[in-house]
This record gives sequence, C-alpha cells and structure tokens, in this order.
Amino acid sequence: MMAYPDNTKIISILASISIVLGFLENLFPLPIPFIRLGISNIPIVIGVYLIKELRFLLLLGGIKSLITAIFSTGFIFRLIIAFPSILVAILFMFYYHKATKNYSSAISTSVIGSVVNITMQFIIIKLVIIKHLAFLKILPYFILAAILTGAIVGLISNNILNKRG
Amino acid sequence: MKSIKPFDIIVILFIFGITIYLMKTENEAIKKAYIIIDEKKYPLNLDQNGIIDLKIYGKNMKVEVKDKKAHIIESDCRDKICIHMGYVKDCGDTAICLPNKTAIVIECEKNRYDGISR
Repeated sequence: MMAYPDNTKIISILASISIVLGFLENLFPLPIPFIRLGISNIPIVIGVYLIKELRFLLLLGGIKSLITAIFSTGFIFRLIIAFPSILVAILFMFYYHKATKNYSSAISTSVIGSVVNITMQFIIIKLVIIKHLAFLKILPYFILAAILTGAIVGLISNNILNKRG
Repeated sequence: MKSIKPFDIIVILFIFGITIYLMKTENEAIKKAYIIIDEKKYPLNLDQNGIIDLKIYGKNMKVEVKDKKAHIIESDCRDKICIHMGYVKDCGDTAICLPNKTAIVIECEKNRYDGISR
C-alpha cells in the first residue's frame, strides 16, 4: 500500500485545486465566446513537472475532468469531449517534457498541452456531435487563442514552480 | 529567473507557423466550373483566359474568363441581371440568366458555408 505515497498525496492536492479553479473560472466569463483561460489546468501543468510517472498523471487528468463534468450542466457532452482530450494532452506534455527537459520550460509544455487539447476537442466534436463541421476553417483561430492562453497558464505555472524551493 | 528557454520559442513559433499555413491554404478546395445551357452541363476551364461566345449553343451571350474568375459580359436578355451578378469565383457562386436558360456555376466537393437556409 505504501508503494507511492508521495504521488497519491500530490495527485489529491492538485486535483482538488484544479476542480476549485475550474469552478472559479466559470464565474468570470471572457468576452469572447467558447474561449476560457484554462486556469484549472495550472495544477496539471505543475503535475507534469512534479509527478514522474505517466499513469499517475493520467489519473490526475481523469479525476479532474470527471469531477468537473459531474458538477456542470451537460454532463455527458462534457465527459465525452473533455475526458479523452485531456488524456491525450497529458500524454503529449509528458513526453515533450521528458524529451526536452533541459531546454524547455513550463511555458512551451503548457502551450503544447492547450493546443493538443483544443485540437482533440475539435476532432471529437467532429466525429461524435456535429458531423458537418467545417473543421479546418475555424480551428486555426482557436489554436491561436490556445497558444495565447496556454502561454499565460505556462507563465503562471513556471513562476509557481520556480518559487518551490 | 530561469523562465524562457530556447525550446519555448521554437515550439511556439512552430505551432504559430503551422496555424498561419492552415489559415492560408483553407480556401483551396477542388473547384469545378460549369456553364449550364438548356439543362445541359458543359465544363468551363477557369485557367484559360479569354472570351467564350455562346453563339454556337444558340445564345447571344458572351462569357469572359479572367484570373480564375468568370463573368457574363454580354447578354441579349432584358434586365441584364446575369451581368450584374458579377464575378463567379468561389464555391457555390452563380451567375444566372433566366430568359436565356443559361448559368455559370462553380461546384466544389466542400461548400463555402456549412449550410444555407432559404
């Protein structure tokens, strides 16, 4: 039972912070529709740096998306869209961080995560919900927004990680 | 503060570049132009500039093709609506002359709009 006590502690703390931040985020809508800052993903970016094992990271992402979906309207759609895309985004972030450990910071890790996340969401929406979506026409604009929000999230996570003694 | 490292800039610029590339190539769907005369379809080559006289089909009309755009420049119909419809260049564009039963249309596999309600 005591095999990975540290990881379990970190996961529970990060997941709870992430869920609370997700709630706070919904209280302050941005002027542009469909775009959110994604501050609930700050704990996940931090988790990529703190947790060295992929399965614990995936668990963190799974818990976060599942509980956020349960407490929001449109449970099934949220779950279908958010759950797989956050797992794929975490995969990309984990291996990117592993490959370029000394040459990259949380900023680019977060940008990669947010871009992969929005792309996966679009793919899932295209496959499952709106089949005639003109995919490539609107995706670039969302990716541009994802770069911006991802950089902001990465900057915040980077500062937090640097302050951790 | 050890914040920005080389790969940050490389990755962000890379994704940015791909996005801009996607934005620029988004309008290049496969286009096929046709002239429709009396319910028959004749293919129209948009790459070849020039003026096409429709007299051989029995219509007093002229179609001009210029810079991958086509428009009707002469017609013997009364209202000249087909001439005022201007250039035909994007997916789903049309220039139609009802009295002569003639039209230029551009058909694509992918439409410019998701759907049109009429």
